[in-house]
Amino acid sequence: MGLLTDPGAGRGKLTQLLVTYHNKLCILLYVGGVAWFLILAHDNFNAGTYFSENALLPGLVKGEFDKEALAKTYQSELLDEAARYPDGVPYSWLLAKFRQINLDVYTHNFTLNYPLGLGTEYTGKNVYAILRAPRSSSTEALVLSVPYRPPTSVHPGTVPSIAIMLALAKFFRRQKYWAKDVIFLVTEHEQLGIQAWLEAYHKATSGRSGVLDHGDMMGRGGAIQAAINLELHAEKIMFILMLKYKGLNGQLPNLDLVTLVHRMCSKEGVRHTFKNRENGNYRDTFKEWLHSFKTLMAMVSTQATGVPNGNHGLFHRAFMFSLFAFSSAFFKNGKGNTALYFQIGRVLEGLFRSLNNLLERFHQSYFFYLLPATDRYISIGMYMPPLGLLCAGLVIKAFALWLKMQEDPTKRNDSDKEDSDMKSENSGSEKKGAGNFSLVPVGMTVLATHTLGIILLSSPQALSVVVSRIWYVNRYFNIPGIFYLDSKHAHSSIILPQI
Amino acid sequence: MKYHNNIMRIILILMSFGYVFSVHRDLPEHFTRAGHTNNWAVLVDTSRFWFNYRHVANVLSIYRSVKRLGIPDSQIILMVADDMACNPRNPRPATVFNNANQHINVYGDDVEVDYRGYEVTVENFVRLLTGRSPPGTPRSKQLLTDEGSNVLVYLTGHGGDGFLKFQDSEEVTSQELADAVEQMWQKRRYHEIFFMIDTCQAASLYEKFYSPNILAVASSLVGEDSLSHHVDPAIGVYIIDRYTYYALDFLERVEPDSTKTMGEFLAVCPKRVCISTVGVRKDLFPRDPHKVLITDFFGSLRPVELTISGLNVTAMPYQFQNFLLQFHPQFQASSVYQQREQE
Repeated sequence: MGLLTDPGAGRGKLTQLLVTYHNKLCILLYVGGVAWFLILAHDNFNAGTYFSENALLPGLVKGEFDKEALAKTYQSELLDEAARYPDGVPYSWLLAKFRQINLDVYTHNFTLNYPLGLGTEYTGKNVYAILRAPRSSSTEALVLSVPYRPPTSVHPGTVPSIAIMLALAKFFRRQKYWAKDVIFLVTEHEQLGIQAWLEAYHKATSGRSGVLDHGDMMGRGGAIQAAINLELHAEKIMFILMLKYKGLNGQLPNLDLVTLVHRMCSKEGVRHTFKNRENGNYRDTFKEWLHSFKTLMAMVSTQATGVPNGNHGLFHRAFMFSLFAFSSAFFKNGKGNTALYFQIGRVLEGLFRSLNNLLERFHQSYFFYLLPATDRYISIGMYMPPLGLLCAGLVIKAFALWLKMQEDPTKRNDSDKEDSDMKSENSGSEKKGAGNFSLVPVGMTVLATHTLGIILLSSPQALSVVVSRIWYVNRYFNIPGIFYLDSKHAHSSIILPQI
Repeated sequence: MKYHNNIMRIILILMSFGYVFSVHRDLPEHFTRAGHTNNWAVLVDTSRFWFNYRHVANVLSIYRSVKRLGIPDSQIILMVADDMACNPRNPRPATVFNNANQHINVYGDDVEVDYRGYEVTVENFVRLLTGRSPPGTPRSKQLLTDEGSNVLVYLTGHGGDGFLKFQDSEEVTSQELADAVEQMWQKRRYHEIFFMIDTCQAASLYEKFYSPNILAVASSLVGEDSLSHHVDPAIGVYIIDRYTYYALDFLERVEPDSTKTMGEFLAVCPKRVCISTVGVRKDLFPRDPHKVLITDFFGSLRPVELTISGLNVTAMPYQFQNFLLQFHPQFQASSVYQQREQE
């Protein structure tokens, strides 16, 4: 007889002890799990980051990027061009600039069949240029992508990132040490553009087919090994790099890539933050712990939403690890030195040279980790035990309940004669409960919740049809698009489809 | 008439004795005592990939030294597992440097690589040593040594306790190596062997040897790692290993007629510069390393003997030359017009 059906089970002394004290035990386990997790944020209980991939050779080579003046020129030119296209992308300017650098330039058209808009179609166009590896066949590629934001967009503009990208493209074009193709990508419409580009690149559709028509891709490089998404809002005075890694459904890039970027920034003297928090230097251990803990919780909460907080997130699915590498921020207290195009260029150059040394996709370091600081990590092996303790409480509670249900009424009759009357009443009611236990209410509840869920899932499309019929909303009005709200961050990304 | 000939013969014999004694010198010890007749070198780099640039630089530097000291390409077997010079990541294509000052391109234009790329495997290495190559193997890929050959074997790459890693996918163990060398001894394929091993935990590779006439030096003991020397920031890799760097430093100052000894070479990298401890195995070597010339292994000695005075052999009638040759073989050795080559 199996454990669960053995009437002899549940009679042992230990299990009886468990049943009597299980509440206290569950609470203890829960509190212990939470306390253990809190402690993990302290430096003594987590580890410093290190490089697992020997091939990276990070920071060994001297940077040679010297095109910061060119980047400034590009920036001013682009600002003028962008002013002429307040709602769109200055395609001709971008194409012309890439062609001047002698790269293979392509455009990529995609359409969105908006499911909530009664068949409205929105189109978009991405521009990308491929720098072919001079001495090797195009088997692998690295991507540097920038989302273009027109001046009327609600998000901060990304003109400086396009400027530095063009300057880098010109610098990279003249080097002879590339073993992989480098693809410079300018996308439109935030995450829609990058999603369409990725789908077209891999000739695969993820998600519901027919919604996003990714179009055809004329030029292609090799398999993408890593991607950097660049969003510099200004190259003004206070320049700090914010690094974000969250992907779709909470997927993270390989820890090696994260460590690489932080190490490069430190090498060039650029201040870098993670979750808007730099590494703090506190004498007080409690304050230090609190700082690390807040960073950790920031990461956990954003990861919990499962929403990528930038274009990089969509790269993670097929093992193309990427990160939303940079964005500038203005710090009120005004300390720190300026990081100009020169330093950013050097950081990116060092980064791409290290990525160039890779032979395989990132696979050596951790995929599941938490970062309490830019240079410390908590691996899955370290944060699983507290989670295990939390779940152990649940398991013990369930086991204890089951044991209680399985208690034999005759056993109660053998107990102390003084309480026999009371006990017999108890046993009678319990026996009644145990005997009459039926699964019907449980099944009904499950069925009802599932039905409600299905209704909710399919409601937007149905509702939009119904509502439009009732209110005669026609397609000449701008229909707000998909609304992402990132709880921890002040901004939210709204995709405004262009008609 | 017969009496006259006999007198002539006696006078000639006396004269020749005089000549022989006047030109006879004590030949230096190493000309007569050298037990070997030819030198071979087997230089092996077992690691591939761009970040192992330093192993290729190691082996090419030793190749250059050995070639400079006289061993010809036909007697050097060079095994290089990856092509660094033409690697797309090399910012200086067609070159391999062993120093950050990039003075010497050790790849050059006269490098002859015998086993390249994926041909460097454990099987090929063992077949090379034991001589069991399949029929049709080109001469440049065979180790055609005999019982008078001194062989230098240089191994570099990634190693561990008891093994050397080939190509990131297989290993040769120290026992296999010892057995291969024993096969060489059984077939009389070497006179003396000098093993030079520059890997991590290199000493474990020579621990299992059991054949005679083996001298071995390793860059680190078991449990220690051999470290690289410095980075070249222009190329972006570690460019050479410590032990080989200091060994080369020593070898660069050795000339083909040098009297430096193996004993000095074995002490070339003390712990304060090498960080790892250099290990030496000399119990299987019968001679004292301090009395063995470094050119016994690294050079190919071509001794040229100088005589003090000249000997006009054409003045002697032919039949007397033959007569004298029978009596005095040394007459042959001291001839000014002869140059004994050690091949």
